[in-house]
Amino acid sequence: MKWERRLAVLVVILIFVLTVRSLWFPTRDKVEIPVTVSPASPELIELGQPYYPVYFPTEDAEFLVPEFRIGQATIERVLKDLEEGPRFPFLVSVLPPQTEVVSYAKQGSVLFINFSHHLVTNHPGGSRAEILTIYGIVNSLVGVEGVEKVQILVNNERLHTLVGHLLVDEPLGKDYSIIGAWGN
Amino acid sequence: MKRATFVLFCLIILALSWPSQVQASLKLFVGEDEVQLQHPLSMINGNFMIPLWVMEQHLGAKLNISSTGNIQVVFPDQTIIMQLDQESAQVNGVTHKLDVAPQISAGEIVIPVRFIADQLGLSLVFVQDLMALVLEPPRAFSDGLAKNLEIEETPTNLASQVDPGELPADSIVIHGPQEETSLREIVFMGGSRSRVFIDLESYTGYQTNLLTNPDRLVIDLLGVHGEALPPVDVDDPLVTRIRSSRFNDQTMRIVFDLKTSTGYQVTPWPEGGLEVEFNYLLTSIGLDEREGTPYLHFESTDAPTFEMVYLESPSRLVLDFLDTTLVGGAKDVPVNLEHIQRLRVSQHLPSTTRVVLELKKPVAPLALAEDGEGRFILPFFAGTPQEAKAYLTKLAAVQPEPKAEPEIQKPLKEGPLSGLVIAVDPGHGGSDPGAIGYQGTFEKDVVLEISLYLGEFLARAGAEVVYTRDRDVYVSIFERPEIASKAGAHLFVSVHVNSHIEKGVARGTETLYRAKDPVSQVLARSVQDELVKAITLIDRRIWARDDLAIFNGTDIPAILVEVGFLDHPDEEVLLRAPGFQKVAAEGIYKGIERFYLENKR
Repeated sequence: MKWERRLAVLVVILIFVLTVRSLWFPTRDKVEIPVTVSPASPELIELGQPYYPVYFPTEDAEFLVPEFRIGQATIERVLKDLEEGPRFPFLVSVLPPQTEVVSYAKQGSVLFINFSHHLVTNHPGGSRAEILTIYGIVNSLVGVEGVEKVQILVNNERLHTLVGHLLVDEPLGKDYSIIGAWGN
Repeated sequence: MKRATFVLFCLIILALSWPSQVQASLKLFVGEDEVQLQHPLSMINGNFMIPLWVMEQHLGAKLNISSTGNIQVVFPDQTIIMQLDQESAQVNGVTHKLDVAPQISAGEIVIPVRFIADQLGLSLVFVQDLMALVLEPPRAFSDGLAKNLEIEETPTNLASQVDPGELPADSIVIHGPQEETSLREIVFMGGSRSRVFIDLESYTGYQTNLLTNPDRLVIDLLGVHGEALPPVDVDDPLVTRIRSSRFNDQTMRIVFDLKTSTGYQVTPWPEGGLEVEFNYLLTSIGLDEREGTPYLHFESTDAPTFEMVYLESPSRLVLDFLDTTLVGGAKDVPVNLEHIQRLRVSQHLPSTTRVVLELKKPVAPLALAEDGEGRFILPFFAGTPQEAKAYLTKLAAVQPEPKAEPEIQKPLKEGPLSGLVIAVDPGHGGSDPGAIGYQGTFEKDVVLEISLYLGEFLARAGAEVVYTRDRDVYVSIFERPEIASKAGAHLFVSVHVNSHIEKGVARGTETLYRAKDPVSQVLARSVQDELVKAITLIDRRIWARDDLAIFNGTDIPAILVEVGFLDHPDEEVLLRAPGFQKVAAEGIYKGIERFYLENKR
């Protein structure tokens, strides 16, 4: 009896599927929001063309993500890129609103950047935001024209911290631990 | 029999396509009735969405849905009209803005539950034991819940006859109905900072504006109804009059007429009302010398606190006077003293006056002293800060000065943590509010509450707890580890709440630990796990950091817990609730206990 055999096979499949489904529990807390990511960059980088990364935080404060810009990196260009903010949706600015670069100077391999007071006064606080602001600046600039370390100044003063967590009283090098990939 | 085969085939397809999240998703109750959800509750932009049919089947409404997406929800006393994908609604003809538009999700229309709760005067409560959201008649906003640390029993069933007015111990009111708030009284308290209390029935949002010509501070109280109060005339060095007026139907405006423009601090009281404090006014700052000792002199409404930094090349001493407003503008003058060559004074931050001394030879400030009414002098020690410190130590050895000891909570009883000294460090404090939430919640207040609960849990388990601060006071990031090491602490636990540059998006719990220290890492892992288990926010993992200021001055295992994101409106509501604060403190405590029990020799 052909249909009986078919029926038996289907019953077995049904039992198997139900068993697997009942054993497999999805993680409870994970909320996955589907994100459609446009191709790598708004400007397409062609083979052999020079490009450089500028780091911006993701909207959910998970990581700093490089956004690539075409051209040769210079301190001025990277500082302007940081002031202008990211081009991608889902990335947010490194600098608090109204923050401007007042001046900068390079001494040896250390780059001193003097920001307006808005870097502190308009900063929302929180260690995550502080880490992302500081290393968004530092990671974007280290590697440009022989810059190895970056000293952040506010109103031409060296501060202990911006908003109470991370020490910025000495020049800082690049932090790789918070650079992430996205849209994977 | 082919039909049987076909039915079975359909069953398999059904089993395969059944949404798997159903098992793990939240339940929804209306009062004591469980809503039989066909799809898991969705969350959009931080708002829980519930199916429209709940209105009809559980809340007694009549629904009319037109083919153009117009939705009418008719209750006996009110009619709510919404439109699919539009972020506004009409209630009895009055337009309200919606956080999220009604929309179609998984084949059914869903609407934001918070808006419905507001219109119907319901509370939205999260019951952790049931993993359920409950819409129910309003109850007090989590009050009494946590104050009582004795509550241990957790009812396993919502219907387990909780006394009216009392919530199960593990439930959290995440949204209360909007109350009609009105302005009750404006109380002028005066004092050196011209304090004023604006008495409101419940917490409201506010916006402030400092205006000039004439100088005045304007505070708009949002969502405050009722009548304005008659103006209050006051006799004060700064404030002359406090007026209130209705700005629009949602906003009450309070205006402080000032003699001079000055910085201010607004502190919302969780139970309602705002406290306004003005800065100390700093005038006639100058430098002088007396018997070879240079000193700074100024006039102020009271002795301000200050911080100092000594900078090399060129040699400068920077003094920041906190909570002060500089009257009479900035100053930059050469001075001809033996040690000091230039004095610069400016309003560095809205509430900080910065005095910079350009030095020829190093000097260090001694103690601030009053020199006649309203006049203060700050004498300088001729020498480097190190020499000044040595000098002061020598002085103190001769003349022991009573110094405020850090607050120590002795063990309350013998327990699993007996013999352990734990430093609990509530972040920020005093003039440093830390992160600020949408509703104006200060990080310093939230973390102090959580830390005090944590300290109590630890002391009950037999540990000795040393707080780096136990009240709203500024303690520098360098003093904090010092307090811990002086007390001989074995562990350093700093409690903070987080924020992101883009407000209102990031959420969840993370723990930072001293990099390259395996013990700190194990402690962080244990605390993060238990805390996330307790408060069920998103797990943002543990992160190694070697650049945190508070980890620097100590070598004991050290962690910094970021409980949640204060700039996210939903997490702010949780972080403000005493019930949630207690649950968070208990989570951190359990993590410390687990770490200790698993790792002690």
